[in-house]
Amino acid sequence: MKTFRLILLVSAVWLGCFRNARAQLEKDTLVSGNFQGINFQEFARRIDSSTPYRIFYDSTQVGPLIIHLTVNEETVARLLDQVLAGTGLRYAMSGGKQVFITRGPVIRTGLPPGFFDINPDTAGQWAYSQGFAPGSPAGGNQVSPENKLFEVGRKTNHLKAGNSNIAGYVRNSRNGEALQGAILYITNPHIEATTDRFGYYSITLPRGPHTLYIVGPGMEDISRKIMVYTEGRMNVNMQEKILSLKMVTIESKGAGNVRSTQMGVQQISNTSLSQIPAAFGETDILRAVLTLPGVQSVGEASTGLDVRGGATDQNLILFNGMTIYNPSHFFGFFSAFDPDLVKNITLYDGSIPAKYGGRLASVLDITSLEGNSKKFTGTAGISPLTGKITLQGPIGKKTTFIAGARSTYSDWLLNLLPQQYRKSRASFYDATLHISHTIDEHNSLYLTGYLSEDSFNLNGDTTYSYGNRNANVQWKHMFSNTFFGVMTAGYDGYAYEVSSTGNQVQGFKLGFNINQYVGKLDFTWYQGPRHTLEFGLDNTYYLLHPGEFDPLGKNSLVNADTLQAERAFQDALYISDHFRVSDKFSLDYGIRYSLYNDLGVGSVFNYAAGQPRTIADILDTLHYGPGKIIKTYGGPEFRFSAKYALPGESSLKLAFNSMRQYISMLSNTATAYPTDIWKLSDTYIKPQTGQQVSLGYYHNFKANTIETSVEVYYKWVQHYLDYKDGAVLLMNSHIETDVINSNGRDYGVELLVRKLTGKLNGWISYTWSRSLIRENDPLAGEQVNFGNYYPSNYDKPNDLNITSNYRINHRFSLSLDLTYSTGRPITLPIGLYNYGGSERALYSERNQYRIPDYFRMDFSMNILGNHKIKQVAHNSWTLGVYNLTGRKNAYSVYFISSNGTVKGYQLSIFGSAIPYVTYNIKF
Amino acid sequence: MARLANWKRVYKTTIGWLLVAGCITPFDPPAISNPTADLVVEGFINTGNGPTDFMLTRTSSLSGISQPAPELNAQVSVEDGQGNIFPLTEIGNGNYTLSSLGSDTTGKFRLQIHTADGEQFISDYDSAVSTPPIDSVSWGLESGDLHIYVNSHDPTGQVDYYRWNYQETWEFHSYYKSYLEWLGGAVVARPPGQEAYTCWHADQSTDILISSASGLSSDIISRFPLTVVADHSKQISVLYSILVDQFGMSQAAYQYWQALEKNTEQTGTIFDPLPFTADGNLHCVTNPAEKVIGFVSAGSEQQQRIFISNAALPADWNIEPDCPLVVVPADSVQFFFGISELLPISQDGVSAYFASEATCVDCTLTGTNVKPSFWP
Repeated sequence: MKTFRLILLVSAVWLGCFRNARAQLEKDTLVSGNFQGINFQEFARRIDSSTPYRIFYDSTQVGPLIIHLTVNEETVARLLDQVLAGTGLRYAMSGGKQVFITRGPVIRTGLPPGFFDINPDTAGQWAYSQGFAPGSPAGGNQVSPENKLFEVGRKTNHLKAGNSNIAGYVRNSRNGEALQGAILYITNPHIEATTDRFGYYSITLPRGPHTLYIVGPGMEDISRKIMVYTEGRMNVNMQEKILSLKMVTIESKGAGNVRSTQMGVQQISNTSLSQIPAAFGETDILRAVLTLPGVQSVGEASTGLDVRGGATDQNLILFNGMTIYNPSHFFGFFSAFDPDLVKNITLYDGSIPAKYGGRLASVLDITSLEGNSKKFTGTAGISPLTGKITLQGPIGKKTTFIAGARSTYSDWLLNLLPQQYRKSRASFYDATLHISHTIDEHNSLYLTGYLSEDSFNLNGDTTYSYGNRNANVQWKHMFSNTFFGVMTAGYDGYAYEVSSTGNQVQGFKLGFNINQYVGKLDFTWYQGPRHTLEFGLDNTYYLLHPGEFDPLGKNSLVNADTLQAERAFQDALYISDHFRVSDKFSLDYGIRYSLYNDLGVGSVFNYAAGQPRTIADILDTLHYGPGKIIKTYGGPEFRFSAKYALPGESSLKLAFNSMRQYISMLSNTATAYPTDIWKLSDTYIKPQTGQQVSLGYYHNFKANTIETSVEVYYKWVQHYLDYKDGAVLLMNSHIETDVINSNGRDYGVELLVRKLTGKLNGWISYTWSRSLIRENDPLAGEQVNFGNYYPSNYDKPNDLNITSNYRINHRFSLSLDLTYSTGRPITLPIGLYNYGGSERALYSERNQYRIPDYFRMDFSMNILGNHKIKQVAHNSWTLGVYNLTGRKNAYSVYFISSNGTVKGYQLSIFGSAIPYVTYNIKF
Repeated sequence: MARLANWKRVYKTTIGWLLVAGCITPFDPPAISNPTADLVVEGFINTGNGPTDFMLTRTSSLSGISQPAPELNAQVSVEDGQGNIFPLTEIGNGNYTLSSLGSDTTGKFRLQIHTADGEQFISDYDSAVSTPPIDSVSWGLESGDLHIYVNSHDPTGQVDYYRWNYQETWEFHSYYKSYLEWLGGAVVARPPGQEAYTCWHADQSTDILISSASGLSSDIISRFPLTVVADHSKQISVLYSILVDQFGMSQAAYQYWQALEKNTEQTGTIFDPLPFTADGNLHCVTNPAEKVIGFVSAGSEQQQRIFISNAALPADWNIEPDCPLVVVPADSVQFFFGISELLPISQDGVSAYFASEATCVDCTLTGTNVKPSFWP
């Protein structure tokens, strides 16, 4: 061993000497002369002849380069800097005064520093030098990280066989933001890891030298030469793809679509959604999600998502882990998230990880930015409807924050209305604050608060408002490199209130609210290169006030009425394992056991057995005291997905999920109505359950630049809530008499083609699907559609979305989006009759007809200000036209008796092309 | 909770207005053929002094004839809780009537129908509701328009649900008073009884007008809006009258009318529930699967009439109509009166007539010149 050490020592000394010597030499070789109007060949010949340097180049690469330069006592390096500036050519110098001119990558004239340490035998054969590019501030004497060897762990003289773990954070080098969904991998053997939402990764590799490749969404692909000695830490900074500035927003994880085990997982990872044309220029993340395969909405007035045939309330919408009950503003026209604060949006609709539960159809996981850790920055924007501002930056060395607020000034819009509506006022705002604090190497704290409020006042007498209130704190503790836990405590609230004083005798105030207190423990254990275990606890306490109706005003004769509060505990335990069986085959399997207890105080009506449930059949009432368990539901939920890699960049995946949902939204309107209430499962309202199988094939073309996928799914749903004709949902203390227990089945095929790079980029998604419901309730007392399957409100079999973006140059791009879908089902009149002094419509069975098909084309132009780094503010403009063809898309069709006759009308939300301009500024 | 329906209605209408102004277009439904023609039963069992009237029709197809087919030759009768039968007399065109139920005006009643083709229908028993009198029919001006309201209360606290009908009658005048008539190709003096200056027009309510006092601490109906007369309307250019009928109802009847209102008059917003045809309280005995439309309720009726004079309205209510006076030479009457359809007003000297547009001269074109019996 002594010899070995000695050689190392010698080489180190020798290297050190050489550096000095080189510097010495360069100082001595200075060039003076007139290089005006000569071509590069002549220039190279003169350098060759007048200095010790020799220039090697390929004249086809250099091309017809004419030099205009006069220098006095310059080093060769600085001379080359000037000659090659702006030509795209680079040069590299070797210790032997050889100069290599190349276009594109710089020739490496030596091995990375430290390379000899592990290859002592070859140390002597290579001279050390380095490449650097002209004009680069890092040029000269710094080593680019790609060439550097990173030593991980405690350096040992000899490597023990076996594996060691490396862990750390992957961050954006510009602002220090953690990168979620970045993949780190080595190729031989193939081992990979993905960063979580904190940007954390943990990968277990065989000890020894590796090239670790890192691909991140919107980031330049990079690699790291690493030498793994023992367990250790390595943080990685990645640079944004310059070309991807304002690029298409939906990103794959490199070849992640093909490679990851999960299926039906879509990510939107760039906050710059601005080139997706939007109504009134309001960038909208939920509308971006709507362009994904398998995601639909009832119509233009709604940002409510119907994922794979699921109802709007079957989506768990999480914002930094907080449940958002109403994600929309302005009666559903806009989503309630400020896109400037959002870092990443992940939609799980195929395989849902075991750590999520409580909803049947999907999980929409939205994470906010953490705030710039390098400097204080901000953005501000203005569109026809809203103004907004975002601030972010470091507080001290360990803390970063991001805060944003958005508010509307849309009252002007109401002034355009007929006189009787001019006194109306509408407003909304949302505000977000997120603070990240690093306590020490092992502990981090994250704090998030979110607030949204909508208010609408009708003619000064009916006021209507709703809002979300959320806060949580998350503490992440690293037990070791491979084991960490996140503890979450939070509160999620949603409330609405309606008050009216229009008629003094009937003045009233109606309130509804839901409060949930959440405590969670999530652990992740990277158990070797083959297994990653996730397990934890998820506890929620619900306190729901379904309705409080009070008189308002001193002349009001309205009777006060308060429905009894609902309380429940929802607890779950889960464990899941990501198991890499082989390079080709991997599995994700897990189980979640959820338990739900409906708690007192409460009263439960007892209905006559076997009779249709009506108020007349109430036999008696059972009373439960505080904390007494009224009803318990529970059961296991299974989550499974498997991937098998096929030759080429393709793979086959299979998934199975079962889910349980203990809280449902009561809504018998096609679109989620702002005063829809949520209802906890109780003695009569059973939790909704669902199972889904899906199969997918994924294939990437052209070096993963084009992704394609086909997914097929089939879903079964039990205890879906449908409603009796004329159901009363507000202030109803016996809701079980108005609902119908139904079963559902949903199935479909989803096709997706995405091109993420190049001047023309975008995606095409096409879905064929059905969503059907059938009454399964002997106690309903009526048969909907004779007990046959009938289409749900959002059953739109054909759905095509094309999102495209063409980048003319770095400052100017064009976007064109197309949407086509089958018209949604409606109930149409099949006949007429006279009653009550007027002709009236006789209706068919439910949802037997469809409104006309939907088609829309949107266009926008994005113009960025100049890209100079040193300026006070960067600005950008977006000009666009929503519904370019001005097509009057039917939102609904209805028949109304007026002046004695029935007339049919078609209602279009946007009946013409809507132009818009937005302005954004970054400082 | 009925009150909620109201704010919801206004709110929905407004939001509809807000976001879809100008985006509502007529829609022609696809050709849908409904193979069955269901029986429609309309009317109420009058337990007060008035007659019990029922009208029996059949539903028609969507694109069909404007008048629904009447159900003829049916046997219709009212049955009370003691099993007494009161048959109704057919008076043609699907109408069946009974002048009075007699002294029995409490308890429960139901309707029985035997159609000519052998089907039998029966309604559920409905308890007679003793409708309280109308307190007042009031009116007020809002943004220039005249709003008419009804007010009522039930001192016994028993009647929670109300329905109203109204009949409007108004006197109006043609712009010119004509002494001449164009008759048989000649201008002749207008005979007495063919007077065309003062006319009356009558209209029935077509909207469903219901309200509930069930959520209130006392049974009070305060300022329930019945109708709106638009500013400058000819309806109150001279004298206007409205006769309001008030019916008390059971909760089941109210729910039926409410469903009918929601599904046929209040749809068309962005937040509509699925429309449906509400089930009434009638059933087909011979074929339980057959649908039958209508709700048969029993009770008494209350009425009140008010008059509103133009004199009580702002001076600018009436606006001048566009009625240019034309001088028609006597040798051109064939052209002006026969072909151009002007009407003569009076003689202009010996060789000409004053004339004007028909609607400016002859009020009988839009009304009747027979004075209603109740008119002051």
